[in-house]
Amino acid sequence: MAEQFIGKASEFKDGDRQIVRIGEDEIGVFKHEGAFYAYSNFCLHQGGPACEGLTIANVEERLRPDKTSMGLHFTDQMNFVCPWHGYEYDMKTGCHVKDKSVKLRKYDVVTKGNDVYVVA
Amino acid sequence: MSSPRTKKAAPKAAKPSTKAAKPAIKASRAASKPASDEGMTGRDKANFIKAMMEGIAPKDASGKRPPIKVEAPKKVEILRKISAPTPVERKSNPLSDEALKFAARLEEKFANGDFEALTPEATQALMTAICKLYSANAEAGNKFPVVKDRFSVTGTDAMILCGALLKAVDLQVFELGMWQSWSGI
Amino acid sequence: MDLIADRGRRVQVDELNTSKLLAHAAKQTRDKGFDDVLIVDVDAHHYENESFGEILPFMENEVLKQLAIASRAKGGRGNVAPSGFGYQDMGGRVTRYPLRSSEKTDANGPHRDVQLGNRWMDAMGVDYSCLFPTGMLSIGLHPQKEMEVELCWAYNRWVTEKALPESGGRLFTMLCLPFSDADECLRQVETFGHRPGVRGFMVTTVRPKMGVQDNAYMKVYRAIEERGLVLSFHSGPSWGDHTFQSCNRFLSAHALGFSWYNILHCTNWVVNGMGERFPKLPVLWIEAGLSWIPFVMQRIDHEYMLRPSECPLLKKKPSDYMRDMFYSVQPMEIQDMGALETTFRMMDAENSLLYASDYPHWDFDLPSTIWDLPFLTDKARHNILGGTAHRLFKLPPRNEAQKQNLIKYGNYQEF
Repeated sequence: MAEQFIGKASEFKDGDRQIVRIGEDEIGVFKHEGAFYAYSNFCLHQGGPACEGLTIANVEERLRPDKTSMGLHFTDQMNFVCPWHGYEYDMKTGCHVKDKSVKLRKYDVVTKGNDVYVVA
Repeated sequence: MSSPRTKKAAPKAAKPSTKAAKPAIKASRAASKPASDEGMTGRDKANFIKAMMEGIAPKDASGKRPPIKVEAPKKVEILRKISAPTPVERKSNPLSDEALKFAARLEEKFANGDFEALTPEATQALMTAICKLYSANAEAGNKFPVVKDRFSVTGTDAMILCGALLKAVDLQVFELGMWQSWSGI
Repeated sequence: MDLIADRGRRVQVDELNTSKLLAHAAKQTRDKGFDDVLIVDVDAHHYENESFGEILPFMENEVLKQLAIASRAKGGRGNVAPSGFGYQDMGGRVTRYPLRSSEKTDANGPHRDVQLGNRWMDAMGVDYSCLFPTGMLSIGLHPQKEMEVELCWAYNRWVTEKALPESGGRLFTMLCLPFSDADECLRQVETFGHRPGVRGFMVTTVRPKMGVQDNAYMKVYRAIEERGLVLSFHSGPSWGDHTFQSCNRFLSAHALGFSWYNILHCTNWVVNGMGERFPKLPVLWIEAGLSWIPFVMQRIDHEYMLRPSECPLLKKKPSDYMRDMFYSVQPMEIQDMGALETTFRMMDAENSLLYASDYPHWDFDLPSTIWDLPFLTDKARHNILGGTAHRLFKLPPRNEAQKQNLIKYGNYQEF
């Protein structure tokens, strides 16, 4: 494993992503809320381009104290969705939003000055 | 039967043996996510995860892949750049421009101590329209802060206006609290 | 282009390109050597509503044709065919739905649907696809029998005269029958049954009217059997059906609906001894997944033993007749591998199961879903992906390696 230069930090606005191929790996690098996250771009379902789909807030159902439903609401958690079938992953963990054991391979991202490296 | 797919004509000798050994296939259950890990050895799990991540052909035992040499430089290729989502831009319009100018004039009057710049009827009409407009947006999910920032109005200002609005429609504070907890708005 | 995400936030996306979207599928095709395996996709789709401008002129009745064409005029004057409720694309999460119109095709090339078909087939390593409509899967809900007949007729003419001839033989069809009118079904079997690319006829199972066992249909089944064609039943959802009106999520209505309508008609088919009446008629049940099959086998075998007087035509258990029929694999529920293996055993998947992608619909399956199953024999793997379909639909291998594999696993036939 080595640090692989993938670009300048100044080139990433918050919410930007890059899909990079490093050797034999294909990796999605996200900048989200000021931090970098990098995951395998192969969806754990059928191998779709997991990091290339829609980014969308997580959905929760709110209940009142009497257990009646207040309906569906977006939360502050941001997810990314595989465009093939809709597998939805938590931006900060790479875990499927419903089954934490379904987790994309995560890569460390290192910034040195204005340079961004993925450890792969 | 004509074939638009020329890749089918590739020499078959170049293909590796079609049939993979069963264990190798086990190593790449690309679509499978067993509900239970029972029956899987540690090696099975490692192969499974590796195949999931890397899309390894089942016919190639994943363990046989040459080890990656740490010191060997890897080719880094930027495949795609995907721009950040852009927030919805609310375009200016004549009515908003007019409202901004009017609000600025009122602020200026107030700064000069003139808090009777509007008649009570004019204040009521303005308050009624703004109240409806803001609520309709909130109910439609178009939420934005009701004032620009924390210091646009004082806490006293806010409490006086909230109280007056509740009184105007004959509501008590506890009813407001109850409604907020049930509606989520 | 923009897609709307949460809270009105817009996400910029590139135009759709099926080959790019399925690049990882193409990698699987290369890695797994799918070129050497005959792969037949018995259930893929196009959006025929995008070609209504070409299809509707084939309607025969002048008055109904005028109604249909006028309804498509600008201003949203109505729907030609029944349309269902639902959110197949999950609010844009499955991006190929909202982006579909942005995909570019060669204006001077074959029909757009053929060009798109070639892109996904090439990426997945599929050699042949059976092309089905999308919106017309709800045709059984049309309140007007006459309009159902006209629309099926027009679609069947268009797909056999305009679309399939441009596909180089890679796309084939099982034509949509106007099942509300048995006489018209027969006329369409007689008219279209011999046309190139027609490998069978399809009944949409979302329909509240007559049961498949009605005497009126016997002549239709016989005509299909005589022609050596396949009779298929294609399922679908119907959220508006009273059965599903208590479902408050699309997931529920979709998950149950697709299985339910095949459960319903398959049960009627088996219990009424259709397998005894038409022993040479291949029957194929499409797009209901697989988990319903052991359920129905268990249920009706159980009641068959208790109430034999209600199914005197049967000479063996209902599940035996079910094993004599065929099933498309998609959407395969790969959740509990043990349960899936049991399902394969119970249905004799090696001889009864046919690969289907359902592309481009949201829950499509790649060939690797079959190829990678840990419990399959090599023969089963090859049979399911294409060997059985090769024999059923008389589709020749497309290269020598495929032929050798068909021979190796006992499937090869000269046509």
